[in-house]
Amino acid sequence: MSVGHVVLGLLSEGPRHGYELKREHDRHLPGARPLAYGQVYATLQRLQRDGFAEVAETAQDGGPERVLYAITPEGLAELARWLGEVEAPAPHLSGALLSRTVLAVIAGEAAGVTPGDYLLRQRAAHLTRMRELTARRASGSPAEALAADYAIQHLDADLRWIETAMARLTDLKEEIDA
Amino acid sequence: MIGIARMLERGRSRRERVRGRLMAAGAALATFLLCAAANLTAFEIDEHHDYYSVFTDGMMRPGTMTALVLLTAPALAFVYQVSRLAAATRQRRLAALRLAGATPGETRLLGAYETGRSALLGALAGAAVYLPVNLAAQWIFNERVSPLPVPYVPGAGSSVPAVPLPLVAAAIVLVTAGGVLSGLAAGRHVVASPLEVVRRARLTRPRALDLLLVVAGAGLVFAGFNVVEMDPIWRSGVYVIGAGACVLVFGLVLATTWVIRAAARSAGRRAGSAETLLSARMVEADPRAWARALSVVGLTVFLGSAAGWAQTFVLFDVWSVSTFRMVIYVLVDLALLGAMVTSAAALVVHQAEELLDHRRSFASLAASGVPIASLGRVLTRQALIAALPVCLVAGAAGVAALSWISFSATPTTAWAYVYPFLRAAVVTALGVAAAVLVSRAARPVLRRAAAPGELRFE
Amino acid sequence: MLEARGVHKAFGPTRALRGLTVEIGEGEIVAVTGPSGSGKSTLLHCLAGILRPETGEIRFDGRRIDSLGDAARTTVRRENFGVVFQFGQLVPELSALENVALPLMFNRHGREESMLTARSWLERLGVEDCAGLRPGELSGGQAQRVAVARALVTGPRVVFADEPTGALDSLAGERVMDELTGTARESRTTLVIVTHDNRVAAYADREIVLRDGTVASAVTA
Repeated sequence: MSVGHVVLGLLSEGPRHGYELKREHDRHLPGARPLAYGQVYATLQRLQRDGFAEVAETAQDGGPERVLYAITPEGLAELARWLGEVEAPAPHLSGALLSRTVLAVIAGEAAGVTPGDYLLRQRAAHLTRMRELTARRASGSPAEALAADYAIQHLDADLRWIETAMARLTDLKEEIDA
Repeated sequence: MIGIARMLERGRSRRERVRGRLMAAGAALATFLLCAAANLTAFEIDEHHDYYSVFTDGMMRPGTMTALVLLTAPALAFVYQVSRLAAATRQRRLAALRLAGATPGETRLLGAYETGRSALLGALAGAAVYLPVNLAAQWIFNERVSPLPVPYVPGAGSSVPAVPLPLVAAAIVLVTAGGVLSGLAAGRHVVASPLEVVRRARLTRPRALDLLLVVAGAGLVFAGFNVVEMDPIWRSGVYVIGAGACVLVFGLVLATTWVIRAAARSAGRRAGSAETLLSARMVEADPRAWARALSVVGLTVFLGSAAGWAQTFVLFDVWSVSTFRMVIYVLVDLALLGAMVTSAAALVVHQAEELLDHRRSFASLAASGVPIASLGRVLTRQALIAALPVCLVAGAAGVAALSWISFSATPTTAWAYVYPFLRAAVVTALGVAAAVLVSRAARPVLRRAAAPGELRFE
Repeated sequence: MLEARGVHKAFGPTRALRGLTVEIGEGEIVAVTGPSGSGKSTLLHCLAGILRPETGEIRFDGRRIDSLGDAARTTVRRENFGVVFQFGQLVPELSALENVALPLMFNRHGREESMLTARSWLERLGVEDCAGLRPGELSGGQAQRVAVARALVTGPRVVFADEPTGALDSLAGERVMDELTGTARESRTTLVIVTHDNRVAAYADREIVLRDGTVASAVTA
């Protein structure tokens, strides 16, 4: 996901000031990392350079200069193209979990940790996080609930992987010991 | 197909075996009765006898045969009811078969095969049991050895032959065919798809056919009376009247579906306790099944209360009291009692089937602390709510149907008019009591249905 | 408040629980998780006094309930426990309202009073529009919320839920879990949820992981 496309999407609703874009980004995507102001302006400049966005109006009433940005037809086309694509279905977190588990089997004895214990602790940590997200989902706005859902379902996938891993530990140990 | 059925046969559970045996028992009883009727056709006796007239009197014998054939109705109804239960419990197995590629028609055929097989075995057993009875009859009527005080002295040329084998074979074929048909019919109520099994939604309203039966029955009775007048020897007309009366009552009892539903609805509206509410609603949702299960009970109550008129004129000295008449009345009442017991047994089976459909909801009620005794009361009250209107209608119809007899006789005491009504009340009460008592017999099924194991996945 | 100590339970050759010990506090919401066949449901049935373990003790409020007879355990369940199962627990012939009123009526409360209380519970769970419908006319999620209302209507001290969302999609399941845990917290009702779904387990304050009939616990590092 690129920040450029997100900004284009927000602009498609109508011309916006930079600080408005930041606020709306943070409101609509509560699960994502908050956008820094510098990042917003850098992105807008890049979009202008590529012809996807333009300056609609510049106002200066006493205070600092305020620029209103708008999306161009090219920008709209780019946005449509991007929305037509799908995200590469790459597993992201499992890499870290996998290496820890394998290492717990290999070096667990030396380090005084059993892989089963590690997985149970990892499960507890995941579930604690899931509990927080579940509570937040119940009390938050629809956008927050959607973001929480996303995180919860991904944590759930990890948890199910952990369950399978527990069942496979014996096989893994045999393979490594062999 | 038969090969698959055999394979399933070997894998039957204990409970399925029990159901097979129950079906066989019903078929055996029906075959036995048919054999007895068949044997009577071959009797070459026409004499009056105080005790044995129902067998020896040429005029009485057709009536006896008719009664025996009629008694097969509760036995066959019992077979049908058990095969419905079997179809309901076969569901899971059938779904597995569908998944393995069997068509819906084939799964129904399997049901028909299983029922037909049990019916055939039962029919063979029933015929086998009849043979010694036939020997005993020959012994009594040909050899003058009687267990009763008055031995039978055969006249010249009288003889009781062996039961005619072609008729026995016909009885066996008939009962087996009945079993196959009831297996096919019971399969209609279960739709086995490869993924799941659903119980087909039941008909709950009175159907036009019931009214047709009522009209046809009334027509037959009417025609019968005309035949009686044309045929002074009274033979042919009596059969027509009898058949008409049976069709009429059967129609009436089936038409009680709406009476049952109305009774259940009002009981449900006024119910103050959970047990009554639950039982009333359950009957209200499926009154037709209850009307069907109770139809033979109703028929028995009808005949039992109608018989009161015939008895009253003997008991109150209009006609002469004789051993001959008393024996016949006792025999009729015994036959009615037998029919009531058999048809009440079919009721237990109906309740077992119902419990099977409700096992999850009952098990969860039991888990949340509803005592099994309370759930047992639900069964009893259901029987009461359904049986009360049916028996009342049948009892009243019985006492009304034969009231014309009272015009043809002039009794000496008013009690002669009271007795038939008293008897009708007693018979009605007996019918209701039978239904309520047998509902207690379904308690072991209830205990199993409410077990926590039923709460797990299907 | 609710505890199992050294509980063994076998079904024929299958040993479902092997010396299991757990303790659940007043007002606590606990999820019991674990792979299929780890003894989750058996534990729930033992804690709820539906099944009796072969050895070990089950205590409710410090009082042993495993040694009680069938009738006495039934009374304990009726007075203190509510249950929610996966599906099919509502009586199909009764309306949703009547289904919820049923436990009260079994407890010898009057019909009018029971129906009023039942209606208020349907409102509380947001299914008052379904009051007159039969279970067959309800969606899976509505049926489960009606079932939750039926479990809570008698004001039980403990509610046992066995895969309460097992037959639902995630949104309907979320709604049921929100209502179930929300009401349990409000009324300080203890809640024991058996589930194999981590998202359901995440509603609980604490998780008990079962493995082969005992509690699996990690040595905290």
